[in-house]
Amino acid sequence: MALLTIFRKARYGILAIGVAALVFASIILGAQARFLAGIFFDSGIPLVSAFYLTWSVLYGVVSEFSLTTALVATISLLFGMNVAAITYYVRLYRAKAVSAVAALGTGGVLSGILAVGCLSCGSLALAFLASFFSASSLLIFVPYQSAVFGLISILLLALSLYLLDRKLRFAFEYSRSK
Amino acid sequence: MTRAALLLVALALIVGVGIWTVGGTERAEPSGITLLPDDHVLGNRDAPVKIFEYAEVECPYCQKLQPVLLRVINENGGKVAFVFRHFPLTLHPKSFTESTALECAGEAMGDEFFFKYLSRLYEITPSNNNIDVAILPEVANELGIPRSEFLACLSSDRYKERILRDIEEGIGRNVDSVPHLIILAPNGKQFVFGKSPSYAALNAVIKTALNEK
Repeated sequence: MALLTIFRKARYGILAIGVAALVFASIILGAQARFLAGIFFDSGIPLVSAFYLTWSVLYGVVSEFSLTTALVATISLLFGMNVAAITYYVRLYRAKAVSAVAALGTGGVLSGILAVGCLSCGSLALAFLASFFSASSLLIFVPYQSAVFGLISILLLALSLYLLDRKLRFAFEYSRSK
Repeated sequence: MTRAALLLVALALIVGVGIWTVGGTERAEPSGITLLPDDHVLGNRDAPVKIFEYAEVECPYCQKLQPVLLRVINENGGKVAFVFRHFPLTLHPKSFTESTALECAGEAMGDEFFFKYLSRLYEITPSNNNIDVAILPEVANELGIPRSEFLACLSSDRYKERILRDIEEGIGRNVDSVPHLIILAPNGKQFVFGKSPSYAALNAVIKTALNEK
């Protein structure tokens, strides 16, 4: 599995976990944006207290584990893995395996990630972005049946990872055959 | 790794801008929420910290929050009071009838029964407008409220304005979803939760508010 090779490299493992943690915190804190805005801008409490209350929001969600927390954690982790894998893919393209990636007919990774002029990689990058943004917004802001949206997003992010893994496997095999 | 660091900074910026943007709009929040004479209060009316909740019975998040609120009130003795304000959503038409039923329970037996009735409704409702409103007089009867008296109140319009006042007051405070909590500290400072908080977050706010003298 190409992804395992990537995540065994410390820098990509750390990148995946770092992005996942940041995304998790963003979704949880984003849901309480009104509260946070209030304590930082309106309440007039000391900054230390404001940070303590911010921490309590994160701590509360983690300590009082629920289905939503599980979904947000899974989506964040898959998002982090996607970011790390795409970063690796871009580097692979820009460094030694330019010909390998080009041989797959992708026609330009960056344009593909932005879904401009490259249907094959555009589709996976869009699936990954759309699933993430729909998940993070719907999970938190759509009050009912949000778990269904969360599950759909998890499936899309997993599909995106699978497609990335397949592309990377082809690229590895092509590099080895050279 | 430089790119990774840039990516993390970019994500942090997006979050920061998001919170700042929301903060910018929230500065219009009216200040000075006060306890009204006919507000429904659980606990000591003179408690230094008051939790005002805009809620409705058919909202599943309000249902989940109720035990958390009761726990916070119990743990803090007479230092924290809970004030319930009606905010029935048009999404759940039955919740207006439930608000009326709550007022009728309060009228018959006082605030203690208002909150007993509220807790009982949260226990029995499947939420999301799925309650059978025919059960409302039965629940009142269970709590010792005479059925005929309760039915007469429920079928009348006498609490319509009272409930609408809570809704209008809520809209004036930018309440756009339920549950919406405003925690009022002794010095008048307010902490607003636009979404249901966890026990840990609510408890941390109560502790902070109690220190705001």
